[in-house]
Amino acid sequence: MKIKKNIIPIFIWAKENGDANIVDRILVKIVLELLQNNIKITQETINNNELIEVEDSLYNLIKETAQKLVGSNYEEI
Amino acid sequence: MFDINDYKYDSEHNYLEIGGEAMVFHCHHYITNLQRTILDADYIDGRLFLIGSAADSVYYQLSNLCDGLSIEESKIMAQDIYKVFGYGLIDLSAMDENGIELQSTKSFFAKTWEMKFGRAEKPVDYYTSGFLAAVYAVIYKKDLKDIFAEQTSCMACGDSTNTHVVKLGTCNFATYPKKQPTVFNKTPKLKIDWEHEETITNAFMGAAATLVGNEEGYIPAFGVYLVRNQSDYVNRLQFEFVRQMTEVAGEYGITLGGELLMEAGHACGFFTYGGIMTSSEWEGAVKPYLKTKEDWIKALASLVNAMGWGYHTAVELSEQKAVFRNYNDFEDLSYIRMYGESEYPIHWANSGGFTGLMQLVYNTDLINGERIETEEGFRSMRRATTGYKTKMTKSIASGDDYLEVEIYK
Repeated sequence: MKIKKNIIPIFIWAKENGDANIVDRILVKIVLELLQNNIKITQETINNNELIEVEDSLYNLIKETAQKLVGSNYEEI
Repeated sequence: MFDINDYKYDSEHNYLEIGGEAMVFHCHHYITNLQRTILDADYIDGRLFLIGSAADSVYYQLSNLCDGLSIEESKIMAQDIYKVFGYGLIDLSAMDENGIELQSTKSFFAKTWEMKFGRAEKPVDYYTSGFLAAVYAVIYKKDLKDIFAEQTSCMACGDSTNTHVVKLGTCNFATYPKKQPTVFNKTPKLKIDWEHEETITNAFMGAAATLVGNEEGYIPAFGVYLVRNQSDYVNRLQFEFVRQMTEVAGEYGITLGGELLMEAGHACGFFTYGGIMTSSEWEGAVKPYLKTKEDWIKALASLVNAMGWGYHTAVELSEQKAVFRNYNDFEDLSYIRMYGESEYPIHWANSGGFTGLMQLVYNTDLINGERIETEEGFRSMRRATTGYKTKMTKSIASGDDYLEVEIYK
């Protein structure tokens, strides 16, 4: 069984540490991968949910993209 | 040779045209945000339209401005408009039949990119590459489709100069079909419900003409760097970005792309409007007329109606909700000139700007003198949970009589 992880904490961290438009910047960067996983999340989806679980590989991509755009490391809780 | 005062402001339509091109002011926060948005989507070759949009607009404009001029006079005309419009300084004396390798040390794009985001990984002055391609095409009667234009060094990357190479070769940027002339919507305007509107608009009507490039070719004003953009250049960047995002991701691409474009407008509203409302000009000429927070918004609308962005007005205005209109806004007019009709509203910059204005007046203490025009101030405000939502409801390009947008909590 594939492990799924919640991506919301990454976006919360990115909002606290990144640009004003960081959520949309992350989503635009990885839009091709999101579509491959049949995921169409927006800033509003992220703001209105506490749990969005995705497969490990997509989680890692979101984390790497967020870290690159924010310019610092995300410490997993 | 070029004098901005030769071009009369169209106060009926709140519009300025130079050499057949509609002109609009933008600030460096907007321009750099917009360009980074495009470059972030690295699965799109944004370079094609970043250079191509500039080349197309400048080609059309210079074809008109240089009509009847000699080669040397045309070079001076091109240098002049580049400087007056706030893009920096260029020396075209070395341009000949074979093109040019141009070096410059004054570049709006390189300077403001580094100010805003720090060092760039790749050259960022696509506009000047497009500008030079257009100059070469007009002066030496070449087809844009036969020109290669590239920036090979950039001060934003740490280089000592910007270097641009323009020559005959395989075209490496997009070219576009001829666009349509501007058609204004004749719908009567709903005037701003404020007795001091005309006083403020008239006070700033002549001031816009003084906003021209200084000895370095920059326009520092209100705490930002302004540029006088060919409206179709800057708007095509938005429209081509969304078109390509749509090809990649359908409606989801429009949503994501639109959010980012609106955010660029939001930054413009926050920094530029914030700068205007804390300026000495505002303090002297506007503030004596202001009693309520709503007056601040109506005064800002009255002022920017002298800037060439269309006629801004408020249908409804309170802290909880505002409905704004813009008659003959620069984005819709531009879309119609270049693309015709749209199936959805396309005025992201205007709508983001209105949202930024609401945030400034109602969600900060700006009206009591707090200076908040810092990057951190912008981030803090945008992180606030009490932010405004934006809904673009009407668009001239979609068949409506005016732009309309709702901003609400």
